[in-house]
Amino acid sequence: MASEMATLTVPGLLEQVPHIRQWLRGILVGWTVSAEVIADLALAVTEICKNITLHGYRDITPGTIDVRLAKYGDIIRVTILDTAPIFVPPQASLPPPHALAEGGYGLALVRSLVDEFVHDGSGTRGNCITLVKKDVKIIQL
Amino acid sequence: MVLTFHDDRGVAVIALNGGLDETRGMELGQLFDRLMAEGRRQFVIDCKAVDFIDSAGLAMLVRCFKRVRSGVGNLSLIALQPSVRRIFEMTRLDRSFDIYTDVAEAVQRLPGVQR
Repeated sequence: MASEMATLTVPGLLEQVPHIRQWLRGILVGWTVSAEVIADLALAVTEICKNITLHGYRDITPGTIDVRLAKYGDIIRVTILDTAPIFVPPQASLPPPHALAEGGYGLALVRSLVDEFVHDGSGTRGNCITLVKKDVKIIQL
Repeated sequence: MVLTFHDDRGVAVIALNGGLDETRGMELGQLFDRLMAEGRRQFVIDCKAVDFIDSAGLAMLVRCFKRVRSGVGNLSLIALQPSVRRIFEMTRLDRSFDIYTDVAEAVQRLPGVQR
């Protein structure tokens, strides 16, 4: 059972993504999570939510984005739900540096930043992405 | 994010402030395009106040870098915060960009700049 939990629901719009990031940072700071983990999760959640707004809701009236944050000891789990058509994230790897790619970093970065990245499209609504960060350093106050 | 620009011995120094994301990346791209259109080819991007960068911000920096390099110019980055530097290291883009500690060092390293 989670020792700490928080949830946020926002419209699935690009301009909401910085708001989601700020909310996530605020919660994790309150949980005294290390700055590096906060930075990793802020970027990973940004990339997922941005993809939802730019791709998932591209051709339809935007639905919502639900973000659920839970802490189990030294594990942080972030669950992100949308109501967009099912989209299975590809197994992307980072572009080679010499290619100087002008894109293709997003999902590959997410996979590099978290310990688990799971997509579930089998529910009654949209996509559910779960990101897990393990061995999280908690700052003792 | 607030974008500011000043000239240092013919080098366009662009200072970023805040997060470099999808929206802010486009603002940077517009400023960069304008400066390129004015004939500028030497750039330093000051990142000391950038506390966040996402894939769109990275992509925009790569786009600017490629554009200026194709025009026989240079673009350097300075003062990356640890969280931003880490993303450059993860993507190994730190091997492609010239990254310095401050404006003075970056300007000094640019070829053809009056010293």
